[in-house]
Amino acid sequence: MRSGYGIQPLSILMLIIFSVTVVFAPAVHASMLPTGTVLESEADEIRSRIHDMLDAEEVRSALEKRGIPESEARERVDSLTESQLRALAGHLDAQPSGEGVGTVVGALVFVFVVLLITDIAGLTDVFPFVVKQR
Amino acid sequence: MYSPSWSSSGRMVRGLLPILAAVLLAAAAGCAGRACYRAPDEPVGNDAVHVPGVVAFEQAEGRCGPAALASMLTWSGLDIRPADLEEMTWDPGAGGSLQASLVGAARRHGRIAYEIHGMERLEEELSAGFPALVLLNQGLSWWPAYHYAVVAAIDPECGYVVLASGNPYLERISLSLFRRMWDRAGNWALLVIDPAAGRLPAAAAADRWVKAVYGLERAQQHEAARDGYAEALKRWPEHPGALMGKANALYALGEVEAAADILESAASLHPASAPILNNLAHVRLAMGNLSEALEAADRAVAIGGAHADAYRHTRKKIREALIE
Repeated sequence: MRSGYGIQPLSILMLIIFSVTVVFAPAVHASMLPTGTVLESEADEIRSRIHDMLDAEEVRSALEKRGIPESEARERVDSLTESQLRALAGHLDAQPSGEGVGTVVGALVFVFVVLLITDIAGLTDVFPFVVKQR
Repeated sequence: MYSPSWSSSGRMVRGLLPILAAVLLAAAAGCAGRACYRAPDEPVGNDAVHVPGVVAFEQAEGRCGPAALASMLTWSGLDIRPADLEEMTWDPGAGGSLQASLVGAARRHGRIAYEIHGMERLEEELSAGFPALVLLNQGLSWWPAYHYAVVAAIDPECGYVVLASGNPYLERISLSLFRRMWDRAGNWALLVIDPAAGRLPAAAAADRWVKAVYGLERAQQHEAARDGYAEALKRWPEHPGALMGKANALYALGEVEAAADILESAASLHPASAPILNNLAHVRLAMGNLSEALEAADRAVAIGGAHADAYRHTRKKIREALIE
């Protein structure tokens, strides 16, 4: 998997695509903002980006095939600590996240988010920053 | 992180070389955390002073996470057993519990999960009467055997620690052993606090506490979040996160006017905080004060920032209400 997003030109291209699309991406649902908006917000932004990835049907079904229902996947994302989310930030930026929300999810995003969630669940062991304690 | 399951050979070696038992038992019984190893330590006698109300639960195979969290939640005033927590904290794939899922489960029970690090802080909180859930590595750094336990007392003078550690009684281990095992697992400890109990950790920092309470808000535990933010405001009455958080919790509980009162004072204390202005606009709108709502929304839009879309959306809704 590492080789997948280790390709530098692709990563840079995707980073550019992402940074452009993110401007248009956020959908506003509620006017009442959560308290996190006045707290340190980086982690929450990362969290919501992962939640956005989970919006894709193919990601959900892949996780369900591995025994993780969507609700559980979301709870696991919610339970990631600030420092874990910050560790994710670098990896997430290497992902072509921008193309994803609600439409077709790219293969790299797909693999990334499925592995991330299963990693948190302890089923796989790909990301060194997802500390699995038992 | 994954080591081969060596239970059977481990047991054999243990029989042959009792001297190595401490190390190998950890590796064998622990299987790198597959089952939580229990230290064979003496039950605590009447002489040991410990935080009152800490109950030790016998852990099922590998279920040290639910057992330790049950001790913490019981201490915090809930009537709960380890089995009640298995679904939330037990990962069949991992054969154990993740720290993050213990934090999440505490929050889903309306308790504040407050993480601390280091011996100094741990001793300080225990002296203040807070037990702590700790992650221990009973194996080696390169062959970890993780285990969760609850520290009920530390006695530096006599050199021991009182633990709820998977046996149905409190037990005692030497402080130096505890230090080594805790150090190898990263010196991580978790306080589990009832926000309605009316007290903060001994060394609570404003931002850390408010962030911990925000975990309750995210878990939709609005009453607990309200109490946690209120507790913060007793000590830090002008903290923007605590003010906004308490208002959000009250709003979620349907107490719109109380939420508005707090947001009014929050907005005058923090006039440059666009999220606070946005929420003030929203509650004013909810109360039918349209022109005042528009004024707050205009200020939020003018400030802009990361959530500018949300501010414009709020203003749009207010303008729509004005036209109707």
